[in-house]
Amino acid sequence: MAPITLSTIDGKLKDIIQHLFEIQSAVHGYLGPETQQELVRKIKNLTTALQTLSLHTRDDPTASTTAPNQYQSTNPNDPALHSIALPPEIIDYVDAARNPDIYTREFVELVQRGNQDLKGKKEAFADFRDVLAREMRSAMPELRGEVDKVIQATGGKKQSERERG
Amino acid sequence: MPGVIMNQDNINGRGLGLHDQLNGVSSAPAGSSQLGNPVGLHNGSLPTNGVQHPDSRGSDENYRTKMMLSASGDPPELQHIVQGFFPLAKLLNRSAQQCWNDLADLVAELAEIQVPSHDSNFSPISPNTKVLGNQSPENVRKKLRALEFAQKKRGEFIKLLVLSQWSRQAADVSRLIDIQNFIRTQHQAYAGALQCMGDMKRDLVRAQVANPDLNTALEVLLRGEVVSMPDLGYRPPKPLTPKSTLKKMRKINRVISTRLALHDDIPLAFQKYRVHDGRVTFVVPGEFELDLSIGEEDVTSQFFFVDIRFLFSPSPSIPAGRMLSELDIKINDTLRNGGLSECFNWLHNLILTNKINILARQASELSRSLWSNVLRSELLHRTLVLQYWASKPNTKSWLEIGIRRGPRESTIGGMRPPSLGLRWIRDGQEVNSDDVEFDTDSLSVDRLLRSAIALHISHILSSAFRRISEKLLYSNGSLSLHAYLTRTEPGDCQLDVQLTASRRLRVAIEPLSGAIVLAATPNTLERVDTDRNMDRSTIDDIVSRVGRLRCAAAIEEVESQVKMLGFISVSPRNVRIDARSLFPANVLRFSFFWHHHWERSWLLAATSSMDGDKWWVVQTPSADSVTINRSLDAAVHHASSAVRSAQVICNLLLPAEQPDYSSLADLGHCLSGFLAIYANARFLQDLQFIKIWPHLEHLRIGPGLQVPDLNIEYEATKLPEALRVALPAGFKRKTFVKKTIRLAFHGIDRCRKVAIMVAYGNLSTSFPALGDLVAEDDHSLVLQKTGTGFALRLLASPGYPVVVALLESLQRLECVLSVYEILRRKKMDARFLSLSRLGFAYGPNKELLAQLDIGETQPQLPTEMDPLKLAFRTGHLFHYRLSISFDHSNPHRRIQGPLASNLNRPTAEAGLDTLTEILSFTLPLMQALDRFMANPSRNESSIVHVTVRNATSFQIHYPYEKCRLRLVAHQHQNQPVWVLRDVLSFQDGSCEPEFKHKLQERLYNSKGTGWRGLGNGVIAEPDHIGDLLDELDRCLASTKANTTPKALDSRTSHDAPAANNQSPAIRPEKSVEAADMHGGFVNRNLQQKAGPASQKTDVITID
Repeated sequence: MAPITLSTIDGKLKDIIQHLFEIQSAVHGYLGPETQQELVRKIKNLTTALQTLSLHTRDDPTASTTAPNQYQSTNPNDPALHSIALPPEIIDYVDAARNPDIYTREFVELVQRGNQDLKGKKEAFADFRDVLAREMRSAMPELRGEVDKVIQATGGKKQSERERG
Repeated sequence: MPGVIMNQDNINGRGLGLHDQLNGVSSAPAGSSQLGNPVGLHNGSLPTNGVQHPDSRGSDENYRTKMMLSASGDPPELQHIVQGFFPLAKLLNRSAQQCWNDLADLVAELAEIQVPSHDSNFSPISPNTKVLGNQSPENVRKKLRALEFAQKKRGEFIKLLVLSQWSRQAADVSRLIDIQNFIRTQHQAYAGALQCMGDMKRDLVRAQVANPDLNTALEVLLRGEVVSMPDLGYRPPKPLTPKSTLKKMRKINRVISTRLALHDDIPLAFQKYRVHDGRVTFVVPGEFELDLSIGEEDVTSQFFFVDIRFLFSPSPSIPAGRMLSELDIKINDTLRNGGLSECFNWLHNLILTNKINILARQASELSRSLWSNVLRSELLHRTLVLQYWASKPNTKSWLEIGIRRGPRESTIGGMRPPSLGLRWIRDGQEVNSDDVEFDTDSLSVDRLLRSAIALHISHILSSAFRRISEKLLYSNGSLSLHAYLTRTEPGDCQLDVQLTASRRLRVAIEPLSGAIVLAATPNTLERVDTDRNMDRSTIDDIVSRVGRLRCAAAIEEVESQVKMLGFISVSPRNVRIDARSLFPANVLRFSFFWHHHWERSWLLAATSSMDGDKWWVVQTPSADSVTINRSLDAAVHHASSAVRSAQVICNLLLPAEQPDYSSLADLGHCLSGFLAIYANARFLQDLQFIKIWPHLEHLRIGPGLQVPDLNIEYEATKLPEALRVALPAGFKRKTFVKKTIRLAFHGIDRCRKVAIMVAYGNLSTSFPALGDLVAEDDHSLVLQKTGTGFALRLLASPGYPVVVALLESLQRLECVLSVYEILRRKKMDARFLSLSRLGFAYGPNKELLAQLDIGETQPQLPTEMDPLKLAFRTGHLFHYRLSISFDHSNPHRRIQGPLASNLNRPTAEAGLDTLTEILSFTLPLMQALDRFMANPSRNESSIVHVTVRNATSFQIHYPYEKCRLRLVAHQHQNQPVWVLRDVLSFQDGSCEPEFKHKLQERLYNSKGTGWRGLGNGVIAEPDHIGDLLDELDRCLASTKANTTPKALDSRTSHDAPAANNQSPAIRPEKSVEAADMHGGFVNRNLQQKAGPASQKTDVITID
């Protein structure tokens, strides 16, 4: 069975929404037996659509055991339904009728900020490491070798290299 | 760091990969490093790893190996976060399921709701028309339910669609989450590293302690001494014996004395000292005692500190030990460097600072306990600021205690040492603080504050005292005002204000908070004391509140007392009075009163101000016009125009002495009375024709609640026309009353609810025995029995002017008196006299009684008498008319009507003067007629009709004889005589010829006593008219006896009973009187001309 993709699901969802809307308008403009039949037909349609959706989204027993790659569709814009898991925050977000793209954007910004921050910290710590190493070399010359080792191990340059460079 | 070292050994060869992992984030070139120990970084922090997991090498090892394998040269995978992630498929599945379940529920629920089943009826309706469908509530509910369902589910699925569309980013966002997780982990690692470094730095402190000097320690332990330390070889001094001690002491004393006396420059404050016990003690009163001693005999050597004691209280004790030794060192330094004067300066400043600190501490203790919230203390350097009454708004008051540097040159020439200074800022202004009790020896903030506050309160109260005592009520001693002031105890300062005779107010100021305390006795005045203006100064506040309270108390007292008298309090709004513009500006309270006895247009007002309480009399337009105004144009009507006049009438609201009920009743009496008097004065003032005294503006209630009398200048001829009485014609106006009339108030008649006003006056001439004529029970007029005084009583409700009635009564009195005078001149005896009638007796023996009535023809007085309109009105208000009446036995009663019309007739022969003449002239005739009537021998056959044409003209008609005679008065030789003649009918033959003949024979041509025939008539003297009539009657009787005895038979039986009964004669008399009254009014000419009419009315029937 070909994996069911998101676009399929989108179509199904749109169908359901359309059916519901038609039911609404039919109820609103209810006139008599004719509309009643119409309404019954529409409810049937809705039921069918729901059934289809339910079928498509049924738990795939293989999903948990097989690797996620199985569902990897060729088109990145149309991934397989069963490959998708949503973070709980986004569900709350949409449930509160807010735009999920805003969530995405804010999250991206948060990660960017965190990255910047982390970079700063890393450089500051590297500077501190160098300062500490210099001080330790001058205060305790007997530890010079050990200090150099530590510097090298943590990605810094040896004093001699620093002086050269 | 054992972990690190060991790791380094083990993972040496694989360092590159780990190192790259580290650099994967920072993008640093990885190739350059050959050797590294990235394990520490990977695990979070290097020291943490080393310290916390010294023995976890193996597990670390395995973990790392695994990571290395999977990375295989690339940076290791980030930890993939899936916790809490939710598959979209499951969400959609569940939603679809839920939707289907709800749909099933909905269908079931809708099926249960029964809709009235006429849906089918709608089918035939043409599709063109808009069909509303079934609008029954059930159906509507059904539809609503279905709509709700669809709406809700649609919303959910739209959300699902949004999620589904977003899901395309789900994988990317998931990676973002992983990255974020990594970043957070790194942050924690850095924070942990910092923590570790901090810990390490703290632990390294112990590494700084120097190493122990083990060599010296060993030496001491072995030998008990250190050889390298030098021994100076001092010897202990010999112990002092008491004797040598004494000797040394004396020596020291001597040295000190000499030195102080000869060498040292002793500062002014140290002049007082004594030398004893090897020391010198300087005493600075109020500050300290300082003991100093010397170390050497050298006069230039310094003094040394021995002891110090403080001489003020409360003073701190100087604890021995560190404190004292510090002081010791410091004083010795000062002595060494600056000598005694410097030492004094230093100590002096120390003491001053200490004192200020003690005061500050006391103040802060006070402000924490009793004076909390009301005392603020602040210590700025060496200045203590004490703000008292801090909770009061407005200006602040405070005390400043600081160091005052003495700029003043002292007598000796040096600068005076600084001292404690006090500044007092009272209500924002610095005032002289000399009176404040500030004891620098015995420090007490409490006493200081009390003193300052007492002075402050005294200042406030005395200012208020001055302000209040300027008010008239207090300056003239009507009310008492006392102030009690002290300089030390603020609670004793108070101001006693007498509000009214019975109420007092005590004004005090609460010492702690500065709030004004008003205590009134009896304490009933809280509610009026509500307006408290915070912006005013305290003094203004006290003055205004006292003023308000006083006035409220006064008015309240008046209201409560006066209400007992039946006065009704009237709201100024109800009578549309703008009281503020009516009264002077200083009136603080007022109240309007009315009494139901009074006229509507008058009110009394009690006003109260600090300059005096006053009663006012206020005249408003009468009630009618007010109500009309109110109904017509209530909005346009200006309130202040409602007051016609207002005037102060009394400067004392209540009797000055302790008011008891009798004096209260006096007050009520007095107020009503004054109102009555004032209303009259006002009326007269407006009338402008009549002078009054005292003048309206000077009309006041006298001392002792005396209602003033009103003196009126009365002159009948000067009165306005309207008020002048129109007298009967021919009546001469004559002045009997002296000009000055005194109008006095004589109380209220409670039954008739009117005020009794009495007008006193004097007659210009004395009428003896006039007083006796007035009846005892006639209260409206009293005449003095001896003398000329008279009094008229007038009744009117208070406020209703009696002036018109008074003037009318006066003129009436004059009228009565003039009648009386005429009667007296005519020698007639007046028997009784009142304002409306005068009885008199006449006749030869004075046995006949008659009375003259003075009636007025003015039907009704106009209800509203506007004096201004009255003054310029034309035409008389009053017309008098005289009438006369007789008692029923008086023969003159038969001509009563003609007599009365004679009295009012404006012809020369009419009037009162002629009345007496007519009376005496007609008396015999009347008596003769009476005699006729009383004659029992007369029978109906001799019936005769006497018709009164007027008082001196009669017609005598003998119906059976058909004979008409006329009896008329004539002047004959200046004497009035009666003339009897035939009437025309007599001559034209209608009369019996026999009778005529007889008449001619016996009367006309005959002569008797007092009468004689004239041929065609008879003339008779007045006194003998009776004889003539007798003769006539006899003549008639004889004729009748001969001619017609039988003609009257038929009537005998009918008229016989009337012979002895006079009632038939009286009856027509009455009708005559009534008719004549009427006729006399209408037209006298008519009566004279219209013979038949008057004949008919003036008939006197004699049978």
